[in-house]
Amino acid sequence: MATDLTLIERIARGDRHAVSLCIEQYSGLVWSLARRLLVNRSDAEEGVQDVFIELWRKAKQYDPSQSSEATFVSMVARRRLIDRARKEQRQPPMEPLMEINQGLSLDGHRAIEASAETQQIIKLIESMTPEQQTVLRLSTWLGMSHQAIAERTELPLGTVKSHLRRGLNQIRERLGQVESRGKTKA
Amino acid sequence: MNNTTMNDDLIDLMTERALGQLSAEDEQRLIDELKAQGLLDTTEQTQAEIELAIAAAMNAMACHGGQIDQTPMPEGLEQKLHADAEQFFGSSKQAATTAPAKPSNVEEFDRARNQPKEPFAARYRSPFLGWAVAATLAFVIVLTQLPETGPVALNPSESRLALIDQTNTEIVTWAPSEIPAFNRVSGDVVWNNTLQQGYLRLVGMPANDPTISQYQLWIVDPERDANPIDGGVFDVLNGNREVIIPIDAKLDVLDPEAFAITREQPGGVVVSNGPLLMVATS
Repeated sequence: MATDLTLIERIARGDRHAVSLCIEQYSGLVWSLARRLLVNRSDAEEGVQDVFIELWRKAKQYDPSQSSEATFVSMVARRRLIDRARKEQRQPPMEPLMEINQGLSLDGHRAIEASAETQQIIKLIESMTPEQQTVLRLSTWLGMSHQAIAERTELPLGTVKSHLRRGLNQIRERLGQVESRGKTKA
Repeated sequence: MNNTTMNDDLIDLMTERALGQLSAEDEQRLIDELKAQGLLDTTEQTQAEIELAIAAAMNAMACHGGQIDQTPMPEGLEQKLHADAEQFFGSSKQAATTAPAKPSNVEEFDRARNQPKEPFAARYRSPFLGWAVAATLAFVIVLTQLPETGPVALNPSESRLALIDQTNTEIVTWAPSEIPAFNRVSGDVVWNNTLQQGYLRLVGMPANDPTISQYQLWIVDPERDANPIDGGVFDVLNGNREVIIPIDAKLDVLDPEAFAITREQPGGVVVSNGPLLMVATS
């Protein structure tokens, strides 16, 4: 099995060893996201299980030219966990859940901090205006609604939306440009 | 990127959808607009790109001023993931060359996962012994209204009320603070020593900026240690309203005498130099 492939690519090719490595590498990250997005601990545990099943299913859809593996894992996890929250007839992960106050676990942090892509995105965000950075942080990291962001920052709702659109567009463009994806070798 | 023909309004709507903010009315408006402009074919790809951007931003934020959660993954969860993978991909002896990214046994796997869940007691791993386990399970079952359809999570406010209904739960109120910015803060601490669970309720607590400082709870428990127990860090991001914060005690609490809040650097500290912003004494 070629080792210049990412774990997800290897899983898509049927590499069973990569499945175990993927669990070891990303379970901490996914657990952190589950604790941020789902209130109940046992629900979060089942949410993590759901996410990995979804990862096995979506492995073939992963395109390393579009994003790093960690970003792909976070995207699949975020989508699946929000779906789960909705199915449980709760609000999606908006403002009240901030009070749960879960951060990213050390394992989760390690899974993404070494990514060249993450470093690039951090630099990009740092190049944005403080106001735009704040809006992006409140929306993507803390999950606040547009309205809540507008109230908190005292910015017009339209400005909040345009900051988000522009910021995410910049990130989308940068994702396509990051050449080093920090492939995982095992 | 293939959305160059999409106008800002459409991108706004798709961004809102990706962030879970889109109302049903706007969802319909989005679909109608996409249809009218002949862009439905590119929607899925664009949506995926936006979601990737959100995930990338989220990861970047986590590494750049995000809070580090010291709570480890539950014991046994990783084993469950390996067991799920084993079930999903079939026998470990299966050939590894022909790509079962979506294996033939997916339907069987889904059926198996959708079976009624095993008794909660069999799944729950508690650090407590004997009666404490029974008490904990009784509480969790009340909380989650199990058993056949899976847990129904409660929000912190509901969980706090459920905890108040349990035996051995104590409620202590915050004393008026001597610090001007906090002297109008009110609320209480709900703590159940048997279950080792509790909640802070704070009304009118000033908001903090998590990138600069965070609040940290301390549990004064001389039976346990001369130093207070770290009860976890938390943020109040919208001041002048009620917030409910789950207590995250890093050690087992034996006999709490008081609860106190300090403001510390992001992520909290091991030993605080104060000052005590709020105090509630048992």
